[in-house]
Amino acid sequence: MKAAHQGRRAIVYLGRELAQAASVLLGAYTVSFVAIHLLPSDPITNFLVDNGMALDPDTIAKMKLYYGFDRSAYEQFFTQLWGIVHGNLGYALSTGRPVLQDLSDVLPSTLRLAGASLVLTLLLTFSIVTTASLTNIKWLNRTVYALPPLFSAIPTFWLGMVLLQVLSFRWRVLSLFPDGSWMSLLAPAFVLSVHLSAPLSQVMLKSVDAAWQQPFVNAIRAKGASRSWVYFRHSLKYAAGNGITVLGLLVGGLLAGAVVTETVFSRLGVGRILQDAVANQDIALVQAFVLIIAALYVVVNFAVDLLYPLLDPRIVMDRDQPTEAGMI
Amino acid sequence: MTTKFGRRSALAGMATTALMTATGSSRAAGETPVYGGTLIFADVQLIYTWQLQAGGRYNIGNGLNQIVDCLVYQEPGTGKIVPWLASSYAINDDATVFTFKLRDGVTFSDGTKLDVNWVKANLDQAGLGDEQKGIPQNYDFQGYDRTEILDDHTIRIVLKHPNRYFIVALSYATSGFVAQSTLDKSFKDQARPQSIVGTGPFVFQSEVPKQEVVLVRREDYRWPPQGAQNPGKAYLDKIVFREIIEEGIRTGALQSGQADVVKGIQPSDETLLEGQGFRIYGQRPLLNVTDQISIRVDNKLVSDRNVRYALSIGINRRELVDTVLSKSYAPTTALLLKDSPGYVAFDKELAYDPDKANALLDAAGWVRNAQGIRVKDGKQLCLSVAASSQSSAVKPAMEFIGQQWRKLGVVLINRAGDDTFMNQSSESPEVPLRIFRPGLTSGLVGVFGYPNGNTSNNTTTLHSDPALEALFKEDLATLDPAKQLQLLTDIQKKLIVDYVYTIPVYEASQTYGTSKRVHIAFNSNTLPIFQNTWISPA
Repeated sequence: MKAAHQGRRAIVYLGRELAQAASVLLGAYTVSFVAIHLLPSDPITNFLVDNGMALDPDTIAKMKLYYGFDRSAYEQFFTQLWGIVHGNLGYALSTGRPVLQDLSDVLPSTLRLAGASLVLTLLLTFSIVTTASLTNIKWLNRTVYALPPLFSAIPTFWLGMVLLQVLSFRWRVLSLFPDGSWMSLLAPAFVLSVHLSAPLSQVMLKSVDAAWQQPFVNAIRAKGASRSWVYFRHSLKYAAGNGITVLGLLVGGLLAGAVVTETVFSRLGVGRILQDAVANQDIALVQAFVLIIAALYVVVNFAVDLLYPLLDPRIVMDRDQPTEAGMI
Repeated sequence: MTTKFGRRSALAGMATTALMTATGSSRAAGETPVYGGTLIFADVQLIYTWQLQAGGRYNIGNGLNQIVDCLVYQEPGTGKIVPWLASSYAINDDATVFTFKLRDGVTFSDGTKLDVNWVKANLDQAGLGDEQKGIPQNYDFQGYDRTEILDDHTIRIVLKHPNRYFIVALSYATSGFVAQSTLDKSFKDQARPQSIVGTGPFVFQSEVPKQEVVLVRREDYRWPPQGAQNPGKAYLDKIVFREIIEEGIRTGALQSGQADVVKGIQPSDETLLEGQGFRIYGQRPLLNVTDQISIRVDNKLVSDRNVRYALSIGINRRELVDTVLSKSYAPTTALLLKDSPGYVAFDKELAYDPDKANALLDAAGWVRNAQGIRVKDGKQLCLSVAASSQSSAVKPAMEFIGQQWRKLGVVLINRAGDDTFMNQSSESPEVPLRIFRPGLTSGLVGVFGYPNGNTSNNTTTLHSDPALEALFKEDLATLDPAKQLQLLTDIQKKLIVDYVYTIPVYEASQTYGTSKRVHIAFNSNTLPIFQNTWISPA
């Protein structure tokens, strides 16, 4: 009886999540569609000028017909949506290849960058939070607390340039052109992770601070547990929930940061392609990116939701019941 | 994405001197060239298409020029047209028929022979386009009618109307010859570097999409242009083409030895690099227009000649070049580059005169508001300018001009370097100012007129002027130098002074920086000749 009830609850939960995911994707599609159509440029002119063709009214008309740009925005919206629902993301105007093919070419490079910067972000955050929590040295503590705002204030572009200046031009340990070496991955990943670790470590610092105020900490301390024992065994775990929420939201930051980092470090990746696609108003390509990013968001945040109960048993899956854990 | 001075613009060029020139520089101090080495060339943008007709931008020409050869070659310095794949050529009296005798023994890198049939097939595809394959007409081939094969060694190109500039167009890399395997491909497929099979000194070896292209020397190459310094195969083993989008990083790449040659040095970095022992080459195409701000005269803000003239005399050209540019640039009041035939300057008429400029704007009814900005009929005199990213000088130059115009009560919105904006401005009169340097392969009709009555081609002024166009066409058929000069003087006075359709500002350069060990050569069109480039041992 209880198992059946739980099963039903899980299905309702899953259904709700899926419906939510679908509406997020539809929303992302709609907003990006409108945004692109509001841009004061037109993809055909761009394509013709880039390819050295005269702006011949005849050619323009033919191309518009071919790519369906002669139809009303309303009609384009639904035709494109219909295609997407059926797994057809269309063709990139600039390369003439299926959008998915263009994407899959560059995705691995960006995933490597994202993966490396995620690891670095976690390392940076962990070092900051641990130092802040455990040190007794006043100036060190103050310095560490000042890092997240500083990290968030440093422009990614600027940091990338400085890093190139030092590593590549002065010390010559980093090639300007990605050569597949560890350094050529670590440098841009570091730049990204500085940007990403700012919000994450800020939230973690606050959450760990909040953990110290919890009654259970007093109880454990009273039993004689050391500060570091409490920190590693309890406070971190207590704060991790909030950290993971932020981490889920950082997917967007990762991509926005990739546009800049990939340009500065001459890396080919999703960010670079996306930038070109927007500049060229390559509608199908931009839409596909937006949808994939939105899908990624949905998946990551769904995973985050599933992780909560594991970290804090007080959180239950059914959102109708109030949770007891005090999330800040 | 980055300039295009518009495609035609990009590869323009005929007549004389490149500024610091070119071929001469590689033989300084009697050094003997050595074979071997890989040259890393970092450009402002990677070559995104290798399709010949689409290759009007400088960065694309930089690649094409190593892979294909042309019928004729224009000597840097003299501007003389000399034989290349043709062993001799002749032009008829009204510049409508061009006859070529082919050189013997030329082969494509796939082993096939270049014969009259292939020359014709190439010229037809360039001149007529191929709708089925999606290939447009080569912009420089306006008025192309047909190619006739006279015998096994001779062909004749016939134009529908006179064009004395056409012979120069045939020397451009975009008029190079490709093998059957390339010609048979569609527009999209020809765009890939592995598709381009030419007769040139280098052949495609490998590509990392959007990151690098590697060309390797062709060992049996022995047909450079007549009088070439290197009569045989290239000195370099390989060339690696890469891109560095950021200007500052390009300078750093050269300084740190990560690139042997970089294109697009910021004017402010030139002295620094030279002081550190690097070489700077400022290259100007031989037949081209100066960097001039062309005006969309039908735009209401600038439809009054007085306003346009005020803008022109409101620029202190000397101060501009001394302040934000470098010795690779020169102030000018002419439409054509100093070494182009038909050059005439209007120094007196365009002398800097802010008082007169202010008076003209007052007279035109533009009154200053509280912020000092001129207003008429509720509209501010607020002008946007479009320019591509291929020249490093345009942006700082326009920044400077904006400051000078602000003193006149005119606001300049500087969109130089924004290629998307540039593309969009091609046919939008909403953008009143545009810096654009179309090539002169159709004469001035290709710059300020409507070749073939095609209304979509004049992207400079977006304005039709039948009287001027008649003069442009007369120039195309005029082969007598004295008469040419008279005509061109008349035309330029109208464009620059009488009507003020355009504001010449400075003579631009395509700037290259190289390490001391690199001995580089350039053609008349600013493109490096890597066949005649070598690296001296460390």
